[in-house]
Amino acid sequence: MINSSILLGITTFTYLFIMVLYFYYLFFRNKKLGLFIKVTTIIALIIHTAGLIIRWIESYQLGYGHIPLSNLYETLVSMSWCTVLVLLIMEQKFKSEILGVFIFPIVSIAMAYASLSPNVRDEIEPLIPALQSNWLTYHVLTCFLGYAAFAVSFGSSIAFLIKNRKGSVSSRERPSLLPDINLLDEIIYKANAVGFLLLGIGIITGAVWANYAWGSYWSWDPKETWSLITWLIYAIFLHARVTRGWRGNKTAILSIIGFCAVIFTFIGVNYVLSGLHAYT
Amino acid sequence: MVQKHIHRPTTRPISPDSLNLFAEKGKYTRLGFYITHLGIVLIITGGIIGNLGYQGFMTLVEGETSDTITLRGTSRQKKLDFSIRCDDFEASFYQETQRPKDYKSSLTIIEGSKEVLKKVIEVNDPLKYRGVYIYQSSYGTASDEGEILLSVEPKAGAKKSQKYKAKIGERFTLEEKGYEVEVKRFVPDFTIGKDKKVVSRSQELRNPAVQLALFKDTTLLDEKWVFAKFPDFHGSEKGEYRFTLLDFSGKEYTGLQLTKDPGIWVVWSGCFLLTLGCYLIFFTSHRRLWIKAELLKDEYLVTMAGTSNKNIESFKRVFDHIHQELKRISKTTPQD
Repeated sequence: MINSSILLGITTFTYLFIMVLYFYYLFFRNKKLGLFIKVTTIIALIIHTAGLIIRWIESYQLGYGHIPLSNLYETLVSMSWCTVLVLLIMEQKFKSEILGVFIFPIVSIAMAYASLSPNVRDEIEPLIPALQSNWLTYHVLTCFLGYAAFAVSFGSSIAFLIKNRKGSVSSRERPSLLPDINLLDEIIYKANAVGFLLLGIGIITGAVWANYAWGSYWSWDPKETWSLITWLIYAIFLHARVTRGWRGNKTAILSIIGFCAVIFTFIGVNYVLSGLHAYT
Repeated sequence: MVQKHIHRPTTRPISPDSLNLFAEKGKYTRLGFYITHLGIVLIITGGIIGNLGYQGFMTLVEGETSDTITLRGTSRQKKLDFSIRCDDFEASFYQETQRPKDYKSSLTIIEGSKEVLKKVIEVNDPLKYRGVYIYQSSYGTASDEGEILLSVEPKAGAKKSQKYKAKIGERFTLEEKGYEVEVKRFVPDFTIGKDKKVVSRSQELRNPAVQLALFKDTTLLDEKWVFAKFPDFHGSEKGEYRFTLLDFSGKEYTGLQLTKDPGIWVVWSGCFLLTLGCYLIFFTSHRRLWIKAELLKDEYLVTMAGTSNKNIESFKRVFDHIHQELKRISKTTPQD
């Protein structure tokens, strides 16, 4: 019988496979391989979507229906979904087939950890009263889409730094593997702008929801504080780029620092610090 | 055509032989920068104004009325202009996991001596009265009063177990002569605290435990903790009787959070402006196009110029498209 676990398991292995394909593509630059990767990614994302929808339906069958965003397993799987979706959109918009090479390792590890780690419970659990609200969807989804955009800018920043280091030397054995530097710079800027707006909306929806549920729109909870820190790092990036004309290595490194803050906000805060958002 | 791509142009004839045309779109998007930063100023201002309000906590046992709250973060108390009475409180749990599913309180607001408002509140659905919001925040069971139901079974002999109801602090006698049991203490969520003392981790019945003392002829024989969820816990082997904690009934109380924040709408307007401003800055641009047509001898010379403050590549495409269209039109239509 098809259930969400099987579909999400298939998705996990497909993403691992795609990750390997990307590395292959990085070294052999075969046009047909590029197309094959894109098609496989789209199919994998469809299966991933189906897995999430079926899990949603399964939760209703158990009597306590809710969108799959409530525990660590669901957030890892949904976050990976958002990342692959945003990656596909950006690859399409910027006509690049290689953007995913630094992102699929992260996605694969996240999915594999969610499915295989004994520390992650994958049962469908009912929602505690505080989470029984439509705001759960608006808030978590906008935050995740923001994180996904930052993930794409992170991958592009790594690609940028690698490409920039090699200088203009390109030998025949290694024709330009990674996209053009100026294109990468543009992708980093635009991805960060999109992520900034989405994360801003995510933080605001979180504040509105907190006010509605607990009477306090901001309580300096570790997750709230760290999401604000992340948002401010990207605000610094945008100011540096627009008002001070920063480009290149400096902005790439700033994007990488920002993404480290994203990871800490997304996962680190739940384990290292306790608060409203703690999983433990 | 220019209207389709950019905006309705304003045309200004200079002389009978020449024409200036100007079109622009998105002039007001340049305000994005100001809107964003104004939004931030409003958020901070709203936060400061909010400090003029208060946030406090109140617990009400079913049936109790109160007009005093404890301010958040301190133990200072504040009296409100009105009183709140909890008429009823209900908590429901999910079947298998015992995790809370829903909790609701039926509240009545009393001002002066009149009942002004009644509402059932639950988490995510607060009550609003005169600028004060009352939220369903938590619940608990008042555990210093209440009754336990105990089962006592003598280990020796074939006597059956007996059930006893007792209040906390009460002593009762068993069937066997001379034996007495004192119910010393009850905690709803047993844990050993930092200083090795027994404390309750929360007010919810997660690990109910009762401390019993067994006396024979006023001599203390045995004192132990009995756990409702762990009847076979090690202390149960010792002693002449086997005790089982069957049930606890106490008064439930509801935990309410009260907030008055006069600055909140300033904060929300700031958030809205911040979002709008960011959208304008990063996703819109100000575009301008000039076309000048002048008659030189018997031909028209058409000059085009355009500028955009952002997203130049996309504007260039529009510009080139208009350019191509003008070329096409000039080849097919007669000069007039």
